[in-house]
Amino acid sequence: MKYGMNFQDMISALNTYWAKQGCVLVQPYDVEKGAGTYNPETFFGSLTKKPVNRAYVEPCRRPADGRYGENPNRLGKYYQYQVIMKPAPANIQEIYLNSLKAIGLDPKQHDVRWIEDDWQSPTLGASGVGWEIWLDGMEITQFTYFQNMAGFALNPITAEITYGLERIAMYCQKVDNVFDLRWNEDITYRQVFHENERQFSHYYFEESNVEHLRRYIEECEEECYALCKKGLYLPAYDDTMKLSHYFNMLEARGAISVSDRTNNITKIRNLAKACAKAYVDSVEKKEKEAAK
Amino acid sequence: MNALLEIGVEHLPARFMAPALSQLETLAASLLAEKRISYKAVHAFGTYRRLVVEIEDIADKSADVQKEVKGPPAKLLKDAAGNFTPQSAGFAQKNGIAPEKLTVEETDKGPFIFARVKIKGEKTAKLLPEIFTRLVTGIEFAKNMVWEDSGLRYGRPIRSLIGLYGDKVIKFTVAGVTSSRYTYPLSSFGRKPISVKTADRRAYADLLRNQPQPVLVVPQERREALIKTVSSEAKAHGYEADLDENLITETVWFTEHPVAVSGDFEIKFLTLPKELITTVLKKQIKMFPVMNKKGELQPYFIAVRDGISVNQNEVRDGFKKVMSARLSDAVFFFENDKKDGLATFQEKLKNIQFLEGLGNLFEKAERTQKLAAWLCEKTGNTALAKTVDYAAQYAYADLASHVVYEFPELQGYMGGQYAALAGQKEAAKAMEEFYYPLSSSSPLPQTMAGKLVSLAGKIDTLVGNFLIGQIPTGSEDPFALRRQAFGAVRILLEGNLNVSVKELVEKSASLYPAGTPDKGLKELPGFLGQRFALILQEHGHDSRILEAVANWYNLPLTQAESLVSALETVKNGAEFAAVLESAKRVNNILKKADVSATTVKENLLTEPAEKALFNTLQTVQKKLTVLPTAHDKESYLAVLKTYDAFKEPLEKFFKDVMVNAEDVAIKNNRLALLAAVRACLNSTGADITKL
Repeated sequence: MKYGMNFQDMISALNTYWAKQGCVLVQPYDVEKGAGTYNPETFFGSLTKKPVNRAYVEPCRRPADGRYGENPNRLGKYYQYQVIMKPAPANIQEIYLNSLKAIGLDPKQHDVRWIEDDWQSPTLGASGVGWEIWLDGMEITQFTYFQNMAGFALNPITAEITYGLERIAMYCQKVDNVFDLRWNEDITYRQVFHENERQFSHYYFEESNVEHLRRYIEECEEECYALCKKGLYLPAYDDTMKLSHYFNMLEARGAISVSDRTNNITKIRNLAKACAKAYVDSVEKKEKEAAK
Repeated sequence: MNALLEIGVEHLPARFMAPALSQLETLAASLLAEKRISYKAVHAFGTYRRLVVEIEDIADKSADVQKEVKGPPAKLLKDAAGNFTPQSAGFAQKNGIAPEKLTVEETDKGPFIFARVKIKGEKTAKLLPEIFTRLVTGIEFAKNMVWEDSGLRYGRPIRSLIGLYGDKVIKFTVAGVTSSRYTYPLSSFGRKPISVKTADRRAYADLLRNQPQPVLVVPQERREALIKTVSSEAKAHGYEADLDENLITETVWFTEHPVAVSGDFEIKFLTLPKELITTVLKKQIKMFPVMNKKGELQPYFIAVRDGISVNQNEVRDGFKKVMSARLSDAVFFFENDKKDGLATFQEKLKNIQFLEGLGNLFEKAERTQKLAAWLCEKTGNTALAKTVDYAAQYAYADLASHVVYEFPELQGYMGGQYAALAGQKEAAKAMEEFYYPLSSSSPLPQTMAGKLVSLAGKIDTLVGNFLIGQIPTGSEDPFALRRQAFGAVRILLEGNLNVSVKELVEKSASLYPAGTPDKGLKELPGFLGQRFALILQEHGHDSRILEAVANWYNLPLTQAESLVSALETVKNGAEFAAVLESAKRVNNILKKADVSATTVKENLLTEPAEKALFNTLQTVQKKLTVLPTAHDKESYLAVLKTYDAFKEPLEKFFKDVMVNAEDVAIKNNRLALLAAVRACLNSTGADITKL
C-alpha cells in the first residue's frame, strides 16, 4: 500500500476496531438525514438509562453543500462514521486515539489537538460538551459528551464520536480532490458517486418542487404528532427526519426567509421533543408494568 | 513537608485555565485558614490536562484554639443552696469541662455563663483528604458538564488524581476517581503511569520535563519555551514572528510542550488584505504570521504542535494543506465580495434585522447617514460632508459580505477595504475605524470623518436599544452598550465636538419612524452621564461635582468638563465656601416660600443690608455681561470668581434682615431678591449648592 488506506478498508478497519470495543455495528438508517446524530440509534439511544454502544457509517445529506461534483472539497452527500458509547468509558479518549492507529494514523506521529467545541443541534434540541479534534491542523472528528437530547437532561452520559470519513481518507491517501479518493484498489470515489453528486445538485438547486416540499412538511408534521399520540414514536421520528430533510431542501432552493428558518427549526425541535417524550413515556410505562 | 495535588483532566478549554488556577490558589488559602493549618506558600500551576497545587511547608497539625461558648444566663449558674443547676451542669458537660471551670461574663444582655473550651489541633494527614476534595470540587468553570454517576459538574472529566503529603499518598475520591501518586504522559502518548515520589513542585516539574516526551508543567516556562521556539523558527528564515499576545496566551493554555513547525504558503495569497490573512492564521488555525524586518507579511506560517518533533515533515505538510485550504476559502469569499461591492451588500442589509421591532440594518444605515450629515453641519465640518456621507451610508454594508460572515471580527476593516477598492480613500479610513474604540482605552477613529460616522452609529444604536427598553442592568449587557456609550462620550470629548448630548439624542430619536414606541429613552442621559463621570475620574476630576452640573446634558461635553474643572478649582476657596454656605440658606428659604418672582422693587428695600445685597447683585450682573462668553475653564473661573463678592452682603443680610416681614409686599420683595441672587449664582448652569 503506497498511500494510506482505501476508503472501504478504512470503514472496515473502524468496524473491526469498534466491534472489539463492544459496539454493535448497526447499519445506516434508511431515511435521509443531515448528520449521523439523527440516526434513531443515537437519538433514542442517548435517552435510555440502559448501556448503549453502537458504531455505524451514516450517509449525510446536506443539499445546500452540493456543487454538481465540481468542487474538490464539497459534497451534497458524504459519510460520517459514528460511535456512541454509554456510559462513556473512563478511557474513552485513549480508545479514540487507538482507533486512529487502526486506520493508519499513529497519534505519536502526528499533532493531535483537542480544541474546545461544544456541539449543539437547535433542530434536535440537543447539546453537548466536547472538542473538535485536529490532526495536523485539520478537523477530523467531533467528540461530544451529550448533555441534553430533545430537551431532556441525560443520565447516564453518552460519548459521541463522529469521524469525517472523506476528509480523513483524503489526508491518508494524500489527494486534494475528494473524487480522486480510492474507494478500493480499482475504483475511485468519482466512479461511485460523481454522477450522484451532479444529478442531486441539479435536483436540489433547480428541480425540486417547492410547493410539494412545503406540503410534505405539513403532512410530516401532522402525521408525526398523530403517531406520537399512539405511542408509535419510531415511525413518528422518521417523519421528524424527513421534515428536517425537506426543510434543508427548501433552504438549498433559497425558498426560506429568515423568519421561515426560525419557525421551521422550532417546528422540527418540537417534533423531536414529542418523539422523545413518547419514547420516555413508553419506557416508564413498561417499567411500571414490569414492577407489577 | 509539602502537600501536592494534581487534578488530571481531559483537555480543558484554554479560556478556563487562568481562572481555574487563580481559584485554586485562593481556595487553598481559605481552606487552610479554615482548618487552622499554617504553611509557607501556595503554588498553583499546570496545563490544560493537569491542575496542580503545592502547599509549601505545611504544618503537621492544625493549631489548637481556645473558644468561648456562651451558655445560659448567669442566674442559672447555681441554685440557692450553692449547687450547680441542672442547666449549668449540663452546659459544662456538653462542652467537656468541669462545672467549676465555668465563668460568668457580662454581655449586652446581662451576665451569662461561659465555657472556655480548648479545641485540639488535628493531624494534617487526617485533614488533607477533605482539603483536597474541596479543592478539586471548589473550582468554578465558565461552563460545566456531567460525565459520570456522581453528577459532579466540572469543566471537563476528571480522569486521575494525585494527593501527596510528603511521600505519602493521601486517599480521597472525587467523581469516581481515587487518588494515587500517578500522573500520565502527553495525551497522544499512552497512559503509562508516571510515579511521583514526593510532594515537591520542583521535583514534580523536573519529573515531567525529563520524560521521553517532556511536559512543561509550569505555565511561565511553557510560555518562554513557546516564544523561543516560534521566534527561532522565524529567525531561521530571516524573519520575525508576529507574537500576538492573545495567541501566545491561548497556545500556552492548550499545549503541554509547544514545538514550532514552520511552512510556507503560495505567494498569490498575499494579495488578500493583510488583516484577513492574519485573522485566518491566528483565529482559524491558530498559527503565527511571519513578517520581514519592515513589518511586511511574508508567505510563511509558524504552527505549534504539542510534543516533540517526530515525523515533522509530514506534520508540516498537513499544516500547509490546511493553511492553503483556508486561504483558498478566504480568496473565494473576498473575490465574490469584490464582484458584489458595497452597494450590493447594502441591499442585502434589508434582510438583516437590527433590533426586534426596529427594522433592518438598511434602515439603520439610512438613519446613521442622516445623523452623521447633521453632525457634520452642527460641528462645523461641512468640508467633510462627502466623505462622511459615503462612509456612513456604507458603514454597515460589510456585515452582508461573505468575508465578514465568516470572520465577524473583521467588520469595519473589510468595509474599509471595499471602499478603498471603489476609490474612496478618505471614506475607507473612516469605515475601517467605524467600530473604534474596540475596548474602553483603545484608540478612537483617527480622522474627524471617522469620529463623526462612528459617533452617529453608536448614538443610533444606543437610542434604538433604549427606545425598546433594552437597557443594560448589572452584569447583563449583551449588546455591549456600555462600551458603545463610553466610545461615544470619548469621541465627543476627544473630538471636542460642539454638540450637546441632548441635541444629539433628540436628533437621533427623531430619525426613528414616527410611532416607534418609547420604553426607556429617558434613561439614556443618565446612562451616558455615568460613562462621562468615569471619564472625568480618569481625567483626575472629582466626578461627584457632576451632580452639581445638572445641565451637562445641554452642553457640549468639553464645555461641561471645563465647568466641572472650574468648580473644582474654586470650590475650596474661603470666600467661595462662605458664599456656598449662604447660598444653601437662600435655597432653604426659597424652598419653603415657593416663590418664583425675581424682579426686585428697589423702593421696597428698607434695611441697609438688603440694599447692600441688591447693589452687589447689580454689580455682579453687570460684570457677568462683560465677561467673555467662551466656555473654557478660564472663562468659567472668571464667572465663578465674581460670586465671591456675595460673601459679606449675604452674611450681613442673614444677620440683619428678617425675610418674613409682616408687610407681605416687603416680604415678597425680599424673597424676590434672594431668588435673583440664586439665579445669579447659578448663571454657569451649575447648582453650586450641590457641590
